[in-house]
Amino acid sequence: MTCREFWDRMPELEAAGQPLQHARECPRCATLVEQQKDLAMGLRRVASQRHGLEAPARLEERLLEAFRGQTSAPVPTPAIHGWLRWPAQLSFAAAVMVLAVLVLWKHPQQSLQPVAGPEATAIADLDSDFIPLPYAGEAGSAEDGNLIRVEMPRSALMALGVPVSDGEAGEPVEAEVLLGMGGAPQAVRILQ
Amino acid sequence: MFGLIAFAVTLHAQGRGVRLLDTQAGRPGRVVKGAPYSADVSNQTTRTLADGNTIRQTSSGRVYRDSEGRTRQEPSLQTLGSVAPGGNVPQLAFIYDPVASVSYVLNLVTHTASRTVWPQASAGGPVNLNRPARPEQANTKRESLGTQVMAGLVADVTRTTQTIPAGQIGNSQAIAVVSERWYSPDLQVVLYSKRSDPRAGETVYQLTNISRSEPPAALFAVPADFQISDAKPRVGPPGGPR
Repeated sequence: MTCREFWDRMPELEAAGQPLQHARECPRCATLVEQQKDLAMGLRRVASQRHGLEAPARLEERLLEAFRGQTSAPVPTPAIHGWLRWPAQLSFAAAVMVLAVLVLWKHPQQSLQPVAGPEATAIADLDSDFIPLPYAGEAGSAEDGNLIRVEMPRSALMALGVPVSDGEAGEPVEAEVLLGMGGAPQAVRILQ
Repeated sequence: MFGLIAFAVTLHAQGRGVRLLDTQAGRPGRVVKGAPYSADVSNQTTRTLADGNTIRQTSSGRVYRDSEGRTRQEPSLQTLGSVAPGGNVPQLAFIYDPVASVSYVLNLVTHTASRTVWPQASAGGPVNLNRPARPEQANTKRESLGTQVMAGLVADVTRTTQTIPAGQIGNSQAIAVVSERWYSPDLQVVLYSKRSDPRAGETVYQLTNISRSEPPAALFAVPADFQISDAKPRVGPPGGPR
């Protein structure tokens, strides 16, 4: 069995539980098979850890909007030879996983921590750079997403619940503030 | 990214106040037609410190919605929710018109307006009422408290209790965060909500002086003497990628 035949029949062989004889004879394919197993295991682990999380309510709409904006003309898809499909998928999945790890590393709590209640869920819909304010109130407010960018003293951030060291209290800071209905600040993003 | 925001106003506040640099209206995710109303909206947060001291922050404003689903919000930003006592943010009005698929931010002081035209494809589109319900979060209990009447409107009242188990965030005992929500099916808005979190205090949101009559059409249009500038629609989260 050639490498090409092996990867072409890989799904069937694996599904049938047949021994992957070719992988025992081909070090390159054996390495790829092992990487694939590790990747699958890692993805399952990530999926289980993130069980219960869901896409933000408006994400679908935004994705569809962006998709419509990008697909006014059909985009031809380059053909991939069958025997290259598995390694290609493996590489793609690995890239996705690396990206996910980077995102989790950068925003370990703010963007993916399970949040309680509709209010927090709505706020979690925001860019993860935004810090939901601890007392942010009514859900409907965050949906509207009116923003103001302001320069304010850092001491005002303390009033918003954002930690500020004593020495910085008097310094100005530029921030974006998401407003709820009635003008109540719901989340803040510090720009400088 | 505020490079996308064409509208910029700069008002310098005295002393240590707040200086408004830019504004941008968001696009509401949901358009409600056939249920006009106007109301005062208020938010009040009260935190009681360990020494008995209290911190109270309030904000208020007025909201309008017409039969076509156009909305107007007039939040009082003078002190930015009481967090900036020396603040001097001018009076703004945020208008969203799903019929024209456009939103405006009006600066009622400078008589300027920022206009954002949204893609027609999904703006004002049908609301997906069949969205699957969110799964309950762990340690979260949601219960119906039946229906109540507030300001002449029937409201579905629900209470949600989220329990943070002891030890999860270093807490010696379990923490209960309780939210109560009064939702009007007729108006499709929350009339009242209260969230009690031992860590952050109590936040009360309420609509009062509710009128179900059609608001004047002029409220959802830019006055003739306002100078209008255009802003590009925000793609993705507020502020967009930086």
